[in-house]
Amino acid sequence: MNVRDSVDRALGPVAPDAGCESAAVNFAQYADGAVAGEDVSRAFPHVANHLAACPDCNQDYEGLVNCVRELAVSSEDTPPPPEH
Amino acid sequence: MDETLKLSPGAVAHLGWLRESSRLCLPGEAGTGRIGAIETPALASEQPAGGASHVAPALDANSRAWLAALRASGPDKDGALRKLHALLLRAARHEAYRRRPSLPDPVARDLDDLALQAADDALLSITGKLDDFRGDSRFTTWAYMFAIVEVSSKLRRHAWRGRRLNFDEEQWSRLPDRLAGPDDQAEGRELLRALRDAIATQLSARQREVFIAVALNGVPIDVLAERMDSTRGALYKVLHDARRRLRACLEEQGLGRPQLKETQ
Ligand SMILES: [Zn+2]
Repeated sequence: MNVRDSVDRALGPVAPDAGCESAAVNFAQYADGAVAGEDVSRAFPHVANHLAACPDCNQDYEGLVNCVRELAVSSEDTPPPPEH
Repeated sequence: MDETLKLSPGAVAHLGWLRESSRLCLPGEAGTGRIGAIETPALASEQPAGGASHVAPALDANSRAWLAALRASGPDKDGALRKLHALLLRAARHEAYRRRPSLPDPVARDLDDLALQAADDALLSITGKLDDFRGDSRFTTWAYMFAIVEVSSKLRRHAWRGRRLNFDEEQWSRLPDRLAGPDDQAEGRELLRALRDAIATQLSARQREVFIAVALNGVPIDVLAERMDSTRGALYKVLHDARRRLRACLEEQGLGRPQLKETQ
């Protein structure tokens, strides 16, 4: 990585940004859309920009998408049937 | 809290910790104003986070069943809570083990404990925020998110426990030497000198501390927030403002990012 890239990385992307809290409100919808192959960065540009700028939210979001993708649908995904 | 639900020791204490001093940015807290991002004009959060208009789709049957079970009473609710806890634990463990290769040994040995604590905390959070579920995702995805955010934060804090976060002036003032390689041209060194000077002269002490820790030294914002008694959202805003100031300063000197202009 050259100096320009290092500096640009430290200075973050130049884009409107949702902020941590507003981005987090949309994480689940964003993750479901991404896993379904939707163009979520177009639908939620402020969230996409935030993920590019905020290392903690980005790491959490990656974990969520991985979890949705890789945890196979199982009986744990449904609540127990009512007992009466 | 349902008394028949078996949580690991300390779960109730965790509930207090989460509600009173949460440094996480969990969904549903947006309206509380506790985390600073919402009111900042520097961030774009005054607009809806989604660029397109999104109408929440009709809730899928599984999500409806979860909500009904968790809002029930008696054995139905107990069963749903137990099953939800199992689901959260599975998600937390999955994430913890996924990140195991990047974790220091002492943390890697504690993954199961951390995952269990995360599942407990996530369950307590979710049961207190059921009304915040908007139905625009699957319920299980929304629930997973609490488990991931909890375990992720615990992993970061555990991994950085005991590490000094004071990056003294001498260290970062040598920025050109640290970031520029022997092959970098004069132009790169000039850029780094300008950045170093801008850090010294354009930022408040708090902005400088956050920028140097997070952007230059890779300290997780959660970890810094814990040490500074702040929140992720509040410190991210500080970082965001610091970055904007520094970019503007470099641009004034003709050292801005080529062909990019801030659009806000
Ligand atoms: Zn964030």
